[in-house]
Amino acid sequence: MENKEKKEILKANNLIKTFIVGDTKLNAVDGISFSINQGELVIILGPSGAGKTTLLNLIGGMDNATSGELIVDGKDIAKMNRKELTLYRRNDVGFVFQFYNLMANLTALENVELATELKKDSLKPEDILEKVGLKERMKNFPAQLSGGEQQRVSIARAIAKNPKIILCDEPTGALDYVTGKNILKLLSDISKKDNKTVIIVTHNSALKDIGDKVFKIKNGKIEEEIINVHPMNIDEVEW
Amino acid sequence: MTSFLKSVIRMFKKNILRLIFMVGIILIGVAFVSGLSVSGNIIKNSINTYYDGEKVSDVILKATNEDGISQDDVNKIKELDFVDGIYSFFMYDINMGEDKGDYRIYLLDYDNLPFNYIDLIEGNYPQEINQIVIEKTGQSNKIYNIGDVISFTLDNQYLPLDLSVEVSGIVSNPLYLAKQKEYSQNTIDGSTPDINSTDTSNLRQIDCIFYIDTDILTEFLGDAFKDASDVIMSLIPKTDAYIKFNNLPKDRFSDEYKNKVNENIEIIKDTINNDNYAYIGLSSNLSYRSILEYTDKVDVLALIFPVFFIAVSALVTLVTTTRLIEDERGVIGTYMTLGISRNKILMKYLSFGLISGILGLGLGFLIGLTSIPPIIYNAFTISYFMPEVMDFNFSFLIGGISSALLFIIVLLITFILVYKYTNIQPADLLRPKAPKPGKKILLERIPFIWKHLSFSFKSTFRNLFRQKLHLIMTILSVAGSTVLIFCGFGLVDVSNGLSDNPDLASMLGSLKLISFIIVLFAVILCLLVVFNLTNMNISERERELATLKVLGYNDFECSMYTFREILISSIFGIIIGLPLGYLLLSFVLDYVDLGNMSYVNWYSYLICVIVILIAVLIVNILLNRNIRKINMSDSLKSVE
Repeated sequence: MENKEKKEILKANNLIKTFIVGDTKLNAVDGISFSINQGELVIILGPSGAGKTTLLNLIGGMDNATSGELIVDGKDIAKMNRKELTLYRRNDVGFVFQFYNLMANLTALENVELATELKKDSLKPEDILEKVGLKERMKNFPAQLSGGEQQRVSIARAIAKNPKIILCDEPTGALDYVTGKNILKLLSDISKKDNKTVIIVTHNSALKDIGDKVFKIKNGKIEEEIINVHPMNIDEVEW
Repeated sequence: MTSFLKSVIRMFKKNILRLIFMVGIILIGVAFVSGLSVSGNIIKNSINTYYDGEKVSDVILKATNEDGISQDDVNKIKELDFVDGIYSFFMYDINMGEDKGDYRIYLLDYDNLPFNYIDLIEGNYPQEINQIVIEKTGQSNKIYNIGDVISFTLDNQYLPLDLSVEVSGIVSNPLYLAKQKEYSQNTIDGSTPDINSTDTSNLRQIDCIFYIDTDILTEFLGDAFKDASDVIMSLIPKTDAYIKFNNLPKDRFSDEYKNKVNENIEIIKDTINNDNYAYIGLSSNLSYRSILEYTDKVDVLALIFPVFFIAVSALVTLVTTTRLIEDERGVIGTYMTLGISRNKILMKYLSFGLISGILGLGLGFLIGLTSIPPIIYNAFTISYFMPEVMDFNFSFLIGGISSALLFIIVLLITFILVYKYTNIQPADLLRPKAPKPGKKILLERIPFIWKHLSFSFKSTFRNLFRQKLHLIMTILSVAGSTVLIFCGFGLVDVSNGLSDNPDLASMLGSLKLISFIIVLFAVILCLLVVFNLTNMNISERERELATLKVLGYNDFECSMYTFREILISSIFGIIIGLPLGYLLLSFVLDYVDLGNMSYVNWYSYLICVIVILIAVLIVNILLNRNIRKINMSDSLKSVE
């Protein structure tokens, strides 16, 4: 871990996202600044309504910031237009969602291919599925897979295109305890072994011990930033 | 307001686009059916009313030898109680030689005509002794104008005339409505014509019809004969007599009318017992025959095409209603847990069908009846001198039956679906419907095709076959539109092709217009159908589209995802629709006895395909906005 190159991959600078509801302005993200290095496992923690989904949308290139900077590997995505954001999502970021969002009419393998056919330096879908433990189930459709297996497909889809950041929104929210732990283990391994930046957005505060960095969000601001020099192994965490 | 009522209003607000489509599709179907089905009747009614006003005679009595009609016989006929009146006159067809043309000369008393009024439409009635009026001209008649001087010789042994006359006015005789040339009583080969025969192939055609007033004629003979004019006139043997009956049904185009006229003729024959007379009923009049034949053709078209229009409308209405209720399964579940009765739930969804049905039918009838009959009527003016007043007296039969059918379909499917859902446990309803699992499709078992398909096409084909019912409905809707568009274009070709044939040229203008109406309505219907199907497809695939967006698919690639599906099912629809269209059109042409499929240009098949593909393209471009608008994080966060 010490030999990991400390390259800054994501940096937010006084990031603000304002929503206008009727006559009132609401800052869902209200001046957030942080710095994330390559290969770090980051937990963004907060109750619902704290602004973590808005932050996730901004980091994921699904929405524009009102002001501030959000620099991904040297490029400010806060200022990007619609087209540039699409390219950003295509090349630089992988998503893992609470409800997997797999295409029902595509097999596990094809669901991964759906992402990889967009990008030249993608990894081989078969290899990735084998890595997440689904070698035998590649030809199965989502409906033939368990929730945990579906989330593995979704993770495989996210990492197969070799993105700079993997963004996970409540990745264990729809899973049982054991399966959820396995998924977190997989995400942690991706960060540690493959030197990938993994950002997990969750309301489950038990996860704070497993992240290299933890941002506690409240009212659109980072209320507390924790740096774990020796993050806990997933097996040791209980909730 | 109760919260239930609020939820009903919310349903309407949420599904406003659906409502507009339902109304639009019902409207188009009903407008076409109602408008076209009454057009033939409106034309016949208008002609009937016009005939009434002009006191058109029911029979023309013709003497077959030069002795003419005896006054005795006229008097005997007058006394029959079913005879309204009889008027005898002199009419003679002359041939002036090849280059001078064929004329028909009437000798009548303009002022005292009891039947078949000679209405002045231009100029004046004769003021001077050497003036005459002539019949209005159609496209194919030799045209004389007011002021022209015409010389002609009448070598009838009882009335030898050698005249040079000036045209003082143009008149209209209700017996000459068709703009084609009347047939002369002179034959091409000089043989004696058979007046009772309808075969016109050996008859010369009339170039101009003159009317000479009897008063003028007697003046022309000189002052000495002035007081004796009645006597002189009675000496000229009458060739023709108009007879009008008083015991006939009002509709002259009905079989009852023809039968009654024939009955009357038989009685007259028995009464006067003269073999040198021929009886020509109104049904032998060239204009009458041509109008009847042609309105019958319109009626056949008005019966066959609406079946397809209504079928397509019904299909789309069925799909739209089904999807509306499927979308609301969770709401139905909530109602049931709240203890709202099944009937009340039923009322809510029936109200949707009822309101779209009433609006669609009402507007459809209104638009169809006010727009199509005048267009068809106007088309008839190309071939006929149509009465200026259109008689809007018609039956709702066909329009009514088809509308009732549409209504029943909408209401029935609502009943069935609501009953089906209210029989399911509310808990099951509240759970989102499990998405249909993906599975291998038949095509995958044909590796040499499947292997060569690109990844996106594989996904498209699986999607298509995953929802077989939706696929079938889309294909059938597009196929129906294809049939109608093809038949429309095909009819245009046939009417163009037949224009080279002079016998039919006169009636083709209106056929062409009807074809254009069919094309127009079919294209509008096709646009609505494709719009509706694409819109439903997009809203159904919102979550999948959001996933694609998140993965970095750009707007074009996302549009292609739904476009490919609609395009492929439309192509299937076209493949099924074209042969069906071919069959329908050949059947129609055969049935109305007009040309055949060889008149249909090869490129009409192509145009039909292109029109539908362009409709699909336009609709997809229009609906691109809806795909762009899909909010990624909202669509992906929700469970359903």
